[in-house]
Amino acid sequence: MSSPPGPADRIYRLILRIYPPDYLETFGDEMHQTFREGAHEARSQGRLGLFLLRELMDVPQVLANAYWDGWKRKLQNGIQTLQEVTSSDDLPPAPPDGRASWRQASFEMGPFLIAGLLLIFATYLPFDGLRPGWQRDPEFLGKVILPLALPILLLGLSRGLPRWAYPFAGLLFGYQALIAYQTSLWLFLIPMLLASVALALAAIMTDPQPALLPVPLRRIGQSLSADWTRLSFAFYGALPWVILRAFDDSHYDNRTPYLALSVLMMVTGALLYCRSRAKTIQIGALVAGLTFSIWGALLDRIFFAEGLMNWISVSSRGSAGNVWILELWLQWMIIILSPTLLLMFGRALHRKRAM
Amino acid sequence: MKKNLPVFNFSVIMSSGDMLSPDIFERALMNMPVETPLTESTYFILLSLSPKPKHGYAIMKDVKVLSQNRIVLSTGTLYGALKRLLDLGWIIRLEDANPRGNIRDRKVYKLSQHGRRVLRDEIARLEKLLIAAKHPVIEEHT
Repeated sequence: MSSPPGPADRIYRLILRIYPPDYLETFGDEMHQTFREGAHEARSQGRLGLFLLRELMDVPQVLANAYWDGWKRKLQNGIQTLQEVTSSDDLPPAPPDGRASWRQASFEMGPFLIAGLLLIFATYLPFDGLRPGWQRDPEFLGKVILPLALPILLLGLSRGLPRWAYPFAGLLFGYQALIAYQTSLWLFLIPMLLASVALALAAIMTDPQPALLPVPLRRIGQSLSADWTRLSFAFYGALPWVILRAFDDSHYDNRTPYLALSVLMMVTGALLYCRSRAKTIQIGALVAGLTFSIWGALLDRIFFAEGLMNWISVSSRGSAGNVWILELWLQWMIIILSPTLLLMFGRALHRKRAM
Repeated sequence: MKKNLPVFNFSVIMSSGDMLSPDIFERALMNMPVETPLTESTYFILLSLSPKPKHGYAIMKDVKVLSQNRIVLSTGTLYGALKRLLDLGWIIRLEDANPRGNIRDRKVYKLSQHGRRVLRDEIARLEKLLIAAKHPVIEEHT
């Protein structure tokens, strides 16, 4: 055993370097020593080749397990840190929401009402200032929405992110999605957003210190820990854009009564959400608001394709348009439901671990 | 409503020694479910450690002998299994009181009380299976 290290020993030391650092710190020296003892004995028995082959063959699986265990532990520690951070006492208590008062509820659903009215007026009133195809002009839409939504969102953030601020975040998110749709960046937008969130979480989990989380993020965490459905409400804030997108090419002049129906459904969904106390009803209201709003666009298409039967039997172009509307509905349904799905997944994991 | 998920890092607790009293630790382990039947590797590792604490290479050799050369653990697999058993609190990692030669800071592994009970339960389970296999009802048909 005191013999000088051979090539096998050097290779094994290199392999050990691939292991996760904490694993290596705990077991690295021991593993190296055990390997040397095993190699020494195998050499004396003339079976060194077999020994090395077995060691090498197991490396991928052992490495995968070591990394998976490390990530799992970091994830658990990160979740615990996030829970501790969001419940820390140095932040002001989360502001009340509209479940207790009509005034607060109307304030929270205000963005939907205003956006809906703007959509209706811009569609029905013959504005000379609006050129045809304004619904697809990101520059024009940006000039309208960014100066309105961004300051209000920042104001909300400075006040502990109350519920009324969430739809403005959704409006900005929806605007980004709209641009991405039109510039073929849609496929990159969601991965980029997810990657940003994953990187932020990874930073916290690899070094779980509450101080790493800046105050605005801690406020978001605190606000969401008070009521996680707010995240869905934020995504629902993008619904005016979804309606705009669903109706932008529904027929040539876009003056359809179904647009008003969609807007009404959106506002009703928001109102129901704001006034409900049960989370199931809240999420249900958002899902219903989205679904019935999309139905408005669907009905519009069916009406202008001269009836459902004709659309199904004759017009392939019409059915392609309807499929597109359904795709739009499905995408936003998944986005709005994603917090619920994540929560259910987390609870299922927790239950499995507790069993 | 906030639910703090308990995160037990048993290997840290066990190695630091003074973080929790043995009583508290044992009580925490009592409530932990044990996945039975044990895998063969786990069973032989626990069996190897039952007479006295051993270091990694000794365990590796024991497993080979006890399994009649059926299970030959690689170094990586052995330490993966030891880490899992440490996390479960079935074994304890200690400094080797009698290190050989020039090997410094050598660690040995010892069965914890909980690990010993798990092993005892598994042996009892296997004995029951063996008794069932030797039952007259079975022997009549074989």
